[in-house]
Amino acid sequence: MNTTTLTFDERVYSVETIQKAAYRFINKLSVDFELNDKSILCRITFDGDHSELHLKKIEADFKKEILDQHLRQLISKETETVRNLILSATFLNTDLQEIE
Amino acid sequence: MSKFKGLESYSAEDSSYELLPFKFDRFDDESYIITNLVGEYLLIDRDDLDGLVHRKLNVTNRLYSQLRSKHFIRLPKEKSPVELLALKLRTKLSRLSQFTNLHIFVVTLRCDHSCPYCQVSRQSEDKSSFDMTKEMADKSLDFVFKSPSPAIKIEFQGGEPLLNFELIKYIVESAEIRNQIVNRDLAFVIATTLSLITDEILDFCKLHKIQLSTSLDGPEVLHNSNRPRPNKDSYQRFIAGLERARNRLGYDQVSALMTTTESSLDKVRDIIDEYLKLGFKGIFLRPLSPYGFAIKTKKFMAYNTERWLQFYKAGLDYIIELNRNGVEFSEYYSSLILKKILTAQESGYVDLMNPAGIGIAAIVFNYDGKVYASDESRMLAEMGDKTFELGNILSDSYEDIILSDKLLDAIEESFTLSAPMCSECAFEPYCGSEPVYHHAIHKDFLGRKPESEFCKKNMSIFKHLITLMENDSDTKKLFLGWANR
Repeated sequence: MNTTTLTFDERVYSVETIQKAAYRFINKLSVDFELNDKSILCRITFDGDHSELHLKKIEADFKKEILDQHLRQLISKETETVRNLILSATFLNTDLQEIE
Repeated sequence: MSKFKGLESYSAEDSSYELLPFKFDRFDDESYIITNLVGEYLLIDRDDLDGLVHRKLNVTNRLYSQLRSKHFIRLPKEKSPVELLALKLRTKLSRLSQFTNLHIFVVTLRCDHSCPYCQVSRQSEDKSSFDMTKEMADKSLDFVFKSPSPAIKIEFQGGEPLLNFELIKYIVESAEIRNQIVNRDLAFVIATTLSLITDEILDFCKLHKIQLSTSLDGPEVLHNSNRPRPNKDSYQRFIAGLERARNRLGYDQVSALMTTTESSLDKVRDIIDEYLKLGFKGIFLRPLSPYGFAIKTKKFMAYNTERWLQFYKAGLDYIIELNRNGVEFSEYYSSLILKKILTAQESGYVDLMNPAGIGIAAIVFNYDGKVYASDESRMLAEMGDKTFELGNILSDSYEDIILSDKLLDAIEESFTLSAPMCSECAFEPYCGSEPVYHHAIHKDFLGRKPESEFCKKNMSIFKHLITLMENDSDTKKLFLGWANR
């Protein structure tokens, strides 16, 4: 069984960020999480048999995905207010929104 | 000295900008795709993505102008981007207040063909117990005219619907009488192999402006092997029926659909040439669906998504080449997607809708009185999975069916904007939720998207279409034409 362990600093990435990245890799690997003081320990089990080189590639892609997820969360948080503003303007005075 | 100040003079005083909502995904090894709330996109590299989010873009940068014009950023408190995005989103979602346009009547399950990939069970020609009754048809029409949609399309399917043509006549005439009062934009389509078409049927179609949707899988040998009839004359009957129908109804009143079997995979050019030879203006390259006999006869498993994508891409390359040489011809699945990518319009294609189109874009009245959420839903039911059986037209009311938990749960639980991975996917504005497909394969409405062949197929097509446009301006012009048709 191909396994590896990665450790992340909770001050840098949230558990949710890593979980979202892990979901995107659900067809390639599974992750057990363990919170340890300020660290997030990820025990990774890769699906199937792969060469060492290939496993390193999957691991590197997983780390890049965590970085992407982190950026997605920044964008989502920052644009939440304006997104709600656009959605309220979209549904204003349509039958799709019940006016109280 | 220039009469105009430099670009930097027009930036906000503090050179700041606000982000508007957008999503991003890796596009290829070098670039990322970013899409806004309505699916307008840009391809940028990672440094620019970081620069965009961390306010490092300069107003003189060309990307800055592109980002502003496509509503990824706005100047502080600028109103027009918000209003324009809302307007475009409102246009895209407008179908929701006028739901259920397509009403499919399965007037019989009987068929004169025995296609191994057929998606529904078929019975021999003489078993009238597989026909819809007039009572069911009347109740179904009651349902149809309760739809709030200003446009109503009634499509007759089977089996071979022409085997119960008397009921088709009854439904068309009854619907027209009812429509004299409510005055909807009413249209009719018969999905038929054309093998049983007669002048009497065509006269009726002409009188009532009924369109014909037929099936052509490719050249004679391929078509006959895919669509067996007792006399092995499926293609000959199709050709004779097509000519007769076009002569009587007009050239554009007959359309055709193809299905890709294993035998089709290395013949995409031959298939397209056959469509051209017969004067069609386009083709819908369709993979087999995981329902009905395609599963029972293992035809669905005969090729995987990658192999179908090779077939599709080779076909699309050929079609682009034809257009470059002055032959006007389009690929319809690509056109539906391009409409979503390049315009604020929705294509209305049930498989690529969010919220899912089941029940609220199309609904099926089966020959036995059962009501299904989509054509695929009744195919799934034929395999024993009744998840999308919404009720019975003889005993359940419109409200019972449209407000049933079965329908609403499936729509809500498959909603892509709250689905894991879909909700943050940059391609989500182009995609759909397809709960029926996912239930057929994964036994739940969502499936795990990294394992979903639906997701793999469509993501690959989205990327391919965008790559073709980005690499060649002539292809982009061609695609713009397809998108705006």
